[in-house]
Amino acid sequence: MIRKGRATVTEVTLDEAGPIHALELWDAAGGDAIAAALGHALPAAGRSAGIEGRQVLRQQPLVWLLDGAGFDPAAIALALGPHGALTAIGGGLMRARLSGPGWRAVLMHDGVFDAEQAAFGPGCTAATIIAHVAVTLHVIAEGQCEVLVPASYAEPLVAGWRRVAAGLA
Amino acid sequence: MTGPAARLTRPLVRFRFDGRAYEARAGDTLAAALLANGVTLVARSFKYHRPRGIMAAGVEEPSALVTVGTGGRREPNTRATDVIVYDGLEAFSQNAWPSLDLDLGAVNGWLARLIPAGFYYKTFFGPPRRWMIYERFIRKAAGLGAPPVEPDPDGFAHRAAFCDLLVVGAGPAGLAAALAAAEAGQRVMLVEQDARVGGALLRDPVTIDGMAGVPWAEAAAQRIRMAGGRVLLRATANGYWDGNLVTVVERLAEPGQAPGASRLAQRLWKVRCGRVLLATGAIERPLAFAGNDRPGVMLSQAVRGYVRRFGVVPGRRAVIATSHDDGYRTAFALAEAGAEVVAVLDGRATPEGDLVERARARFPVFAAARPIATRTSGHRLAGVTAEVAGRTQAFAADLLAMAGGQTPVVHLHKQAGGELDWDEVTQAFVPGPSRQGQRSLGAAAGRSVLAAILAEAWEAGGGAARDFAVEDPCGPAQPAAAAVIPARLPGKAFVDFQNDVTLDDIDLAWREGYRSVEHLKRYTTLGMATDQGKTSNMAALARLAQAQGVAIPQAGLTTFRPPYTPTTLGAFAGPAVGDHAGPVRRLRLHAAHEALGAIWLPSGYWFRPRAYPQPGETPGEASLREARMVRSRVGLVDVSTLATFEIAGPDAAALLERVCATTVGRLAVGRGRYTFMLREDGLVFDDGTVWRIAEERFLLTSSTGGADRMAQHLSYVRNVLAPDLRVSVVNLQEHHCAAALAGPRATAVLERLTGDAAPLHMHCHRTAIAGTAVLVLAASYSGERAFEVYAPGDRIAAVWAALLAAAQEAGGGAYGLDAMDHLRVEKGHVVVGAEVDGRGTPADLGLGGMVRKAGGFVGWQGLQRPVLADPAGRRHLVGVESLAGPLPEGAMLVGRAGDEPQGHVTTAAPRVAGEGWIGLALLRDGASRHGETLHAWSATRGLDVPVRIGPPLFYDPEGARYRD
Amino acid sequence: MLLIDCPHCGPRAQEEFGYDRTLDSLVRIEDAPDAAMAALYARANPRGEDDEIWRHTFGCRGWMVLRRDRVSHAILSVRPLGPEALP
Repeated sequence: MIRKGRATVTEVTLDEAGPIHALELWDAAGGDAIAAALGHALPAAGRSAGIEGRQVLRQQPLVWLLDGAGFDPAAIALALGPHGALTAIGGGLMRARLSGPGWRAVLMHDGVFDAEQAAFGPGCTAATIIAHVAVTLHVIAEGQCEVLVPASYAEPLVAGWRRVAAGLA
Repeated sequence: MTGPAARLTRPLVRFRFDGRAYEARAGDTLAAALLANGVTLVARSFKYHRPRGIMAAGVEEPSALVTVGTGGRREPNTRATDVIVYDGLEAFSQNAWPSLDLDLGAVNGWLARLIPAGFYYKTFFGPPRRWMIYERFIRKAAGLGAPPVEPDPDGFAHRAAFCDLLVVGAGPAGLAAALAAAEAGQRVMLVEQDARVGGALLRDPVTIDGMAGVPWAEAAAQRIRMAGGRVLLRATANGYWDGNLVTVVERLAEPGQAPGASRLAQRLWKVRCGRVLLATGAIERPLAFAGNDRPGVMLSQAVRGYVRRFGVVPGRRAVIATSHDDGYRTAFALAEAGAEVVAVLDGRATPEGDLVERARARFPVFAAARPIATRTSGHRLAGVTAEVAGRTQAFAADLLAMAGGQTPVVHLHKQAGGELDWDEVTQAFVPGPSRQGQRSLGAAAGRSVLAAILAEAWEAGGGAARDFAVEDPCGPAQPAAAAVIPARLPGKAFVDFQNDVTLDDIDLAWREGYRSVEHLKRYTTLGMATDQGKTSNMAALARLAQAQGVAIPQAGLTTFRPPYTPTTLGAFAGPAVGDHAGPVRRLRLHAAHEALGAIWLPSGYWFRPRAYPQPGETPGEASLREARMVRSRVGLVDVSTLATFEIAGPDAAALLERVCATTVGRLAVGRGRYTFMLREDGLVFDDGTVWRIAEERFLLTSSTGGADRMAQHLSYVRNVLAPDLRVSVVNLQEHHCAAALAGPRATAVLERLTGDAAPLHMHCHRTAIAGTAVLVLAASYSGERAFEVYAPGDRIAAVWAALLAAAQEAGGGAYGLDAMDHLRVEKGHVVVGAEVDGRGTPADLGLGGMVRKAGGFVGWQGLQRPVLADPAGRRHLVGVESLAGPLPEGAMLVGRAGDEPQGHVTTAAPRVAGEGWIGLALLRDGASRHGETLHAWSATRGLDVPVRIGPPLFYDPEGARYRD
Repeated sequence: MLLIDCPHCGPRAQEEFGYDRTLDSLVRIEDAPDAAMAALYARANPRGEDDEIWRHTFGCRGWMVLRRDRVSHAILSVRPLGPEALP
């Protein structure tokens, strides 16, 4: 929804999420093993870690999402050993990208999560519900937020965001 | 500049009322515009159809209800005081026929003796037939506006917001508090139901810190915005809920008005707050006297507002009736605007003070004086009869301003669970202890001295203690003492103007035994309808307390329920209208099905292909053709919506043994099995298949409709019941998409595509189709040799295309849900939602032999209950065969039409192999009744079909067709 | 409309959560049939404070026990429930 010359421009794109794996850990040793394999510690609740194409998001108390084509699932599974399980889930997700200064306001519609709080900045994640759909928000940059949405709900959800974004512009 | 001169500087706006064209000035409310045009008769009252005018200037208006707008934008019961006039506004009076001026319903006023308080309830006594007659009369006569019948063309949005501090009301108190908080760096939201900030400053010419009130207010709002605060106008905080959640309805368009570029009429804000400051002001109380409802009788502060804010003088000769000093301000305002103040009737025996003395120098002021009756000419006030120091005196007047005391707006405080205290001086309930983060300020807290209000509000907002310099040309005033309600009054003295409840009605209710305030309310309808008693409750309560012989606080209060003011249904619905009433889930293969000409079937939130009719085919014919195609050749069906879970880890089998009532833990790798799950009470709630796809990894499938429930159940068992297991449960309903290939040619089709030998029945393996890795499960639902082919959602399209092309080449094609249903009925396979209805045990469904005797799974304890363990008298799964034509699904199974039902037909289907109709049913003691003849009787459809009961299996009983 | 302080995510709106049951109606798989049925059908249901099992279904999916006053709706405490809460 690009509107030239307007102050609040928010573009919403929708693509396949690409490879995503759910990593569940059963003990602390698993965390250490994965950190060693990744080269960085696993992020705390509400945070992401890693570089572009290799993002780790903490999604559940003991489940992290490995988001991106940059991971080698076989190597991660090997490093994980008996400390947890790795399961491919990316085929069920779509990735919506909201770009522009209005993304926070867009995500407040039909939602209950405070996407407008200053503390919710780049590197922050949140699982919440928007328009009855469970989504995972991931702030990529000050002006950009990615949202992982279940594939079956993605189209109407994104259509709603585009409508809201048009109203803001 | 205020008053009539300033009015002329505002742009002209044109509007219509009851078809007549009028001119208003921008910023006018409809009420102000009507008064400016001399329109004093605006409405007819609810019960007696008495002529009514405009009484108030705000949302408390009880009488001037109008319908605004046309078509889908028509909004009935809109307060004329709460609509800002826009160009082209169309308003209509309500509850009058044939016209407002000559309303035949006014005959009710003459018949008042026949329709006393509790009239509706009295009509309930006697034979019900009589109520049917009364009801027609009552519904026609008792009227508010008619709702629109066309759909609303505009949008309504729902939006969340969060703040450290929400301030409700942008009068001086609210502005000071919000400003202090915003400039201290807090996240602040300030909401105001009016179109302008200022509150009381819009009617009283005070100065604050040397600035005139209105510019001070506007500057404060600007500073709040500059500091990052959010200021919403035309935004009403209508509900205060748990967890400091306040709902705010923001009008983006006026009633009946086409919205701007956003196309939104209203936005519902759900504001989660740290603290809430309630600066909601106070509502003035009317006085009780005969004919106090006549057009021209108005609230005193409202009169002042019309004069000062809108430049509209609602009368030329005015009488002021007041119980306290504030009424005198209205006298000064009217005099400034050129009206004649005929009399100030002060109810107090010895009014004194600076304000009173200055008034005495200018106007005839009468002490111990109160109005007792009015006189009208046409429909409008012509005179006031007063009792002055015990003697009667008449005044010619076309305006009577009433100042009967102040009622603080405590609605949100009460909704938030707060308590009320009683203030003896003002005879008013004021906010007491809070339960959530709320605090009341200003007039809402019962305060009346502006400088003190500002200082308190500033500190409440978080500012450092400071003084505000306030100059008031009227000087200091005494607190707003409430008017005393006279013990006896002649004529109709209205208390509730909206519901036509008089003091006599309250007395009558009391005499008839309605002693509690809740009973009084329901018996008389007092405090109901759109204004919820904003101007009436206190007077009624005072009267009830008099009758009970107790103080007002002891008489009790009715509940303050949201919404504070009437809220359009569209605001509650938000975007959830039409097709958006629930979320829609689209299949990954939606476009592929569409290309095949699918007709759709809602299935939960999903839309799934029901059938793919060919030209000229009915859905029923198409389904039967598709099912026969599967029996004779090969068919392909989209089963992507099935619930699927991967369960991985050394304890995966241990978890499944807890969830499934069948033996699953000892499966060999590459094998699968049918299974079902019980609730804790021992009844079956879902079924599916479980596959061991690796040593420590299982795939569990279960029903589409139960997918979310199963996800919740698995999470519960894993996390709450078995937290110590080393296992991971991942919901893959969205990740895994699947197509089921079924039919005698399925094996050949699959093997040609994969180049691998197809797996044996109830075996699985991994292979590739169209270059995509797939998992093939050999399971049969149709009764034919069949394979479920799983691929990730982002790859399924290519796999489906390859399978479909191969199936078509083999003489087959796609089939839909109806065909799948026909096929499974012939095989007696149960489905969750039909045969599995949450009331059956495994044995009831013919699955008893599969239950693990050793227990150890959810529901094993429940199964031990005698009522479940003994099959006698329970409903069993049976097959039914129609002996005459189509079988009605859902029909009762009876010995004879009209008998007590012994069971019901859960699913009906035409035979695929052969002719005629068959079905599955649940029948009391059905397992031992095979061969009996019963009737499938549907009283609602007028159908009665003889059926023969038999085993729930109609095709290939040996299972030869799907085995290898 | 409650605001529930999820042990993992912090304060979140009730809409993200699902109520499951009171803690005293929890049925363990190893419970004897009589005890299991008593927990299901004869629970205490006190007026006022009780322990309730909730799940942050549309957030972190985590389970928790709320100590909640069912008269005032006040939430007195929240503690996690599940593998992450094991010692």
